[in-house]
Amino acid sequence: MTTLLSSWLPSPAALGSILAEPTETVPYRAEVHAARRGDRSAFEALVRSVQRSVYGLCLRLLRTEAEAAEVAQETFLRAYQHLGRYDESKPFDLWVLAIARNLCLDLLRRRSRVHTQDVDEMHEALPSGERSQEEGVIAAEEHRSLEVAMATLGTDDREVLALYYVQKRTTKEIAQVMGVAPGTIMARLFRAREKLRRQMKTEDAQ
Amino acid sequence: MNACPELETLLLAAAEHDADALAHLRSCPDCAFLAEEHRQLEKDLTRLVDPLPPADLVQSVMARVALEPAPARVELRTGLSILAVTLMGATLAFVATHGNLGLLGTRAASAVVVWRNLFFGLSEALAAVWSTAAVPMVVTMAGLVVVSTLGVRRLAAHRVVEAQVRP
Repeated sequence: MTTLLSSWLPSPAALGSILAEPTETVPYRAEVHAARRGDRSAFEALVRSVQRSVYGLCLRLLRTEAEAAEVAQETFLRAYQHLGRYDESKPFDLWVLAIARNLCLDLLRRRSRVHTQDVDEMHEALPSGERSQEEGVIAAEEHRSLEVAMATLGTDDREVLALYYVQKRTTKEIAQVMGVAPGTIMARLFRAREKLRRQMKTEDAQ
Repeated sequence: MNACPELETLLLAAAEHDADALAHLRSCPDCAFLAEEHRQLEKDLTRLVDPLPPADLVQSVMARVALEPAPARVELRTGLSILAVTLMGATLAFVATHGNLGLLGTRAASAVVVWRNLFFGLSEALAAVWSTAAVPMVVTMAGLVVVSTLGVRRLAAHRVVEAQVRP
């Protein structure tokens, strides 16, 4: 059981990073405190607050809606089971995202290849932030080609792009979720973006 | 014009408002073009948003949470288990030394001597077997290694299955 826990809880590096860098405001503290005492409605409020970012990250990493929903569920269940291990002075949403990430990576490790239909399914599921009637068909097509290109990237690249651009996380927060040094995030972002740019060029040329 | 620096170095430096990097971008159309493409890509990426989760996600989570004990109760149970094991160890030590805990050091030292003698005895026995039947011994050892490896692999596979996300 101990080895099982270690596979999806945030890595020591991530925890170290979280512990080493106190944050100014800690949302959800009251809810977490209540949930620890067994108040399930408080935990439900927590789930509602962070479900979109957790599910969004799962979908970007796993690329299938069914798996993303399953892993998101499992993430919250494990968060509940191990609330005792959570440090209340740190951001709850980042802790849960780190659990979701580790569960997704576990699942991805068991996958041997990417199925095209998975990617197609994901494109249907991912919306555009500012899609409106004015933007019309061209914007929708641009958005789709961006998602197509993004889906061809590796897990690490998709992850860092999703956290930074889609979820608008800071580099420090991303470092906490990924368990890496904050100083490496900008370089990771550049490399991911460069791969994406090249991929989109290739698709445009075809 | 100076040779173009690596794009990653250039753009990361420009993001830090490095004067040399900014000057190069102003003077080099190729690098400026690439920088503009990155800027445009960032703009497009920022427009993406997370998808809405399934409508029944919260209900599904809470249905599973309802079957779980409260986290505080789990913590209490873990604490009590640790306390019970500690007390049991202390009781065993007390009984083993017939109530005289000062004897613990002596008992530990004698245990080391006993195990040391056992170790040397085993070493001599192995050396004797090796000198008389080296080949069967190597074959047996190889067999043990193979069986152990297979066992570890099975354990690892079992762990992966356990870690799978349950529906």
